[in-house]
Amino acid sequence: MNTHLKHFQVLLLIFLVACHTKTEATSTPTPEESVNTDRKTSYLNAPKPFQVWVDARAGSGWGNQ
Amino acid sequence: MLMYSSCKQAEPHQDTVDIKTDTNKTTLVEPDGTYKKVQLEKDTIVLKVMQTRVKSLSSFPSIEEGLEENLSYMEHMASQAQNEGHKPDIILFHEFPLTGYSSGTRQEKLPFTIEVPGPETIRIGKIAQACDCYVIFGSYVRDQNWPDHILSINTVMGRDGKIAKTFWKSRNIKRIYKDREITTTTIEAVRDAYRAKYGIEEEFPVLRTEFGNIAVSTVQFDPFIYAAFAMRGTEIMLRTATLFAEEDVVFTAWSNDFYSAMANFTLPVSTGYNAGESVIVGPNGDILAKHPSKEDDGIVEAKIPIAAFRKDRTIPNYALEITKPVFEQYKQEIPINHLDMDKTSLPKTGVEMKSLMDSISRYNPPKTAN
Repeated sequence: MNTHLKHFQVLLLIFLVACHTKTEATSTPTPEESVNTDRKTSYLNAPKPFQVWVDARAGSGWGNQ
Repeated sequence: MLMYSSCKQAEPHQDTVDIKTDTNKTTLVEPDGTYKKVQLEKDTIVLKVMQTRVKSLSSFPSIEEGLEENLSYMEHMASQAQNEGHKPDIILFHEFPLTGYSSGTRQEKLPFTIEVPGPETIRIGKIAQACDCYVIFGSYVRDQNWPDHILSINTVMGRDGKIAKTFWKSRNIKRIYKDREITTTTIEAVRDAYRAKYGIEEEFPVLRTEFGNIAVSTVQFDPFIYAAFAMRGTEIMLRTATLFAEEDVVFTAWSNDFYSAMANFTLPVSTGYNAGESVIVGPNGDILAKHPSKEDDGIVEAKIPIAAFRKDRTIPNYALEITKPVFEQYKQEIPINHLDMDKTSLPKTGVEMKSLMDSISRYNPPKTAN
């Protein structure tokens, strides 16, 4: 009985981890990540003003992709 | 006063004008609709736009290594432009092929600039000599005449390898960021000092070449700026960008009756940005050439029948007289000369720049990004 319980607990854990991962992958973007609806920014084909994006990646090695 | 725009290979801004040029004594626009030009060398010219990636100097182990790699890449692309398709007469790179973009304060950004003239212009001049064409590129620039200012300048290298002209950015787009404003120094930001140093003709300069009258700008969504360039006799309006809207380029060319091109940089689509897709457009709004990719580097080219275009051409027919009463009462939100100050007072960051603009705004309330 104990063995069955342990198997059940392991399966439940795997199920919960899988659900959590899926939730993260499909979660709604935060306002900062979402498409910027600002008129001029949109005209510039940009999800957000470019320098904001550059600043967010400062020190990350961006620019050498 | 130096007449740089009429001197094909003059070093720009190498001398200064001690007194302001009086607008009334300088002919900026001919009253009969004609404009100054020099004899064309050929009837049709070839314009090539270089769509290339950005590698920011700040991401290299050293600035020297970054400049070397970026210069080598420009040479590589220019060589490709020479050896594929038609022989180019004008090669147009994008806004920052040498320096890329940087972050931080004014002092942190200043090292990631070049000097014009400098070692880089000598090297790019050799590209121009090798291909016997004009080579145009944008860059962040530092200048000892403008201490601690970060300038955004498009430089034109002539066929002899020397600087044919430099084009300061006329003005920056404003109120596009919620939390900051662009800190680079433009003509508008120091207009009176700029005029005193270089002359009023240099506020909307035109380089009269044997391939047509050209001007270069990084300004976007700004119809008055481009109307002024057109009034001054621009036939080919070359534009460099950090992202752009095709509609802006098409309509600006169409409404101002000039050929135009936009050189954009590339970014992986995975970044979320729709970069690339550089274009060359005609004066009737037709897209003559367009790079198909947002993320792949490459070259687009188009032939411009400059002799036929120029024949009997006058400057555009704008509705100035009827709109003048409105324009005379209009006040732009941010006064010109807003960065004409001691270097220690210059805004150090975009946030400080926004504070400055909010403090001098003529609008109530000050404008904000949407």
